Amino acid sequence: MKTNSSQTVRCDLIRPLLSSYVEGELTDDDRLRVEAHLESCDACRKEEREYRISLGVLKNATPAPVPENLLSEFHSKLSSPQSNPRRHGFIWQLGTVGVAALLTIVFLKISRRIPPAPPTHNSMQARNASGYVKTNNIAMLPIPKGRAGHGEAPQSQYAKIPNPLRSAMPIEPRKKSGHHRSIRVAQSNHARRLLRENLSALSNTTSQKQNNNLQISAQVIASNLSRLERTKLAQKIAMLNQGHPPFEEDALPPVKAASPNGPMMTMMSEPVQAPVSRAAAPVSKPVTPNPPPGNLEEMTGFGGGAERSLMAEKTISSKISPTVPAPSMRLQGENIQRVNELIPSNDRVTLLKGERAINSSGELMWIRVVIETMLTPH
Amino acid sequence: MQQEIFADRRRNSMKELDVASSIDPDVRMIVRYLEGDQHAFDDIFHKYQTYVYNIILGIIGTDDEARDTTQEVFLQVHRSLRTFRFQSQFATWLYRIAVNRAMDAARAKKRRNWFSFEQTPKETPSPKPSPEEGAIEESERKSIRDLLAIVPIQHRDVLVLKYYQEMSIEEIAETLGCSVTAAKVRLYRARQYFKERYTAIHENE
Repeated sequence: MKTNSSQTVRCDLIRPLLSSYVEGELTDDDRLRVEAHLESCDACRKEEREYRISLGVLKNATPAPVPENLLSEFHSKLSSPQSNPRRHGFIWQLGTVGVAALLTIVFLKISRRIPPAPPTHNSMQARNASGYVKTNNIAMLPIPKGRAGHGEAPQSQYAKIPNPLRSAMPIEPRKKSGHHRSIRVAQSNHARRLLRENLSALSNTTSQKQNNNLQISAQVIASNLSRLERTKLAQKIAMLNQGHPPFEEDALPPVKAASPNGPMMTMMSEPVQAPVSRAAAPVSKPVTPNPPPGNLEEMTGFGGGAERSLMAEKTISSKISPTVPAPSMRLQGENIQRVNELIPSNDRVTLLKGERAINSSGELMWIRVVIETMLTPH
Repeated sequence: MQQEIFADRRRNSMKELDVASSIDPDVRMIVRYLEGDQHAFDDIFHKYQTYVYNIILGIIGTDDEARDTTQEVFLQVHRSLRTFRFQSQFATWLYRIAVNRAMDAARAKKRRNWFSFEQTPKETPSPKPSPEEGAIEESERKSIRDLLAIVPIQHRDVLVLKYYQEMSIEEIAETLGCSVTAAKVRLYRARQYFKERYTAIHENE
């Protein structure tokens, strides 16, 4: 038994050397070792004989004669202009077509998902009038042209304005609810625009999806928006929460009261969401749900007011009925980056959650975007 | 100053080339060709066409493609001979081009066969030839092409260089552009594969 096992091991060691042994390429030590083993091992001897025969045939192989006129054909090819023909196989052609088709599909997908780029700040009024915010795709937040990442200096003219309410506003305790969507945006022109767009989209979605029992609740705490903006947003949210039928863009009913001195405003309805804040978010307290007094006809519209010095923190929640189909698409890092590009570099915004659900017909059923803002001292 | 250095180097290299050309007939032919003698390349062609053709035929396995590829190899040599640095043997350089071209062509042929609906004839001999056929084959010496047709493409280059060109393992390594150890491993595997296939085919003879 012991002999057999040692024989097996030795065969394993010897067999890799057999071809070199046949060819006389081994050192003397290895050659002697192989010869000693071959005397006692029939299997290795048989293999050695097979090597000797097969490699002997290979060594004695005859070269094929060179075809006639090889040199003259070479000369004719040398003088022809295309002396280096490239062959493109079928697989390469197929690959090229496939890659082109893939790129087309990807391009179409992207172009369907990304809303058109927003205009510049200076044309806010025009944007508002042209109904620019009529997108229902909150998940793909638009990036204004010319904006860079964090490293760039803030471009908003409001970013450097001190915020007296930052440390003074306690967070209102809120109830938790199962299904809610929220948006928390703060303190920049871009942030305000984000909020406005998303609110509009939410309202459009809500009004279109009344059958799905979609509701919106919102809380607006303080604002660096203009009075008209605050009033419009708050009123719009409140009306949607009360089940108001769909209304046209910028066709809100006039607001009676708008307080010019009240920097904070809260409009709430059930359910209200607990704040999702990991950062040193500003502490805020709820104030009266009544809109501040003011005359809407005197206002110039979004972005046109004078009171923008205060931090804005808004949470807009929409409740969705459990009957809404489930398939959803999570926002990934790219969109977080895009949101961050929208905010001046001294405000760090983190997109905490973002989902949207699409029903079986491919319609957008609901959207959820949670943006957390960390305000840094100016 | 720098120009003088370059001139010195050029003079030295020309001297070395003169010395080498007096010894190596290949270098002599190349120098003649570089000096404008167009017949010198024909001499190179005549000298190496059989080797190059058989290397390529052993790897590709079909006459027509071996013929085309041989011409492409010499076309490439004709184009790049002026850039040849004489840092290696001309033959090694030429065989390297031939092996690379042949492997490319063999792979391309394999791909074409894969996508082609035509039934290509099998290159490998029938596994069990009749005793009569075996006796006839035994009496004849087989061509390198027929023998190498029984092994996969990736084993053919090392076998053709070893058993047709009779290169040493170092020359094989240089031609294939790999280390000596890698060349040894490749040669060992190719021999083993060839032995098994050959034995299986000729078992009953």
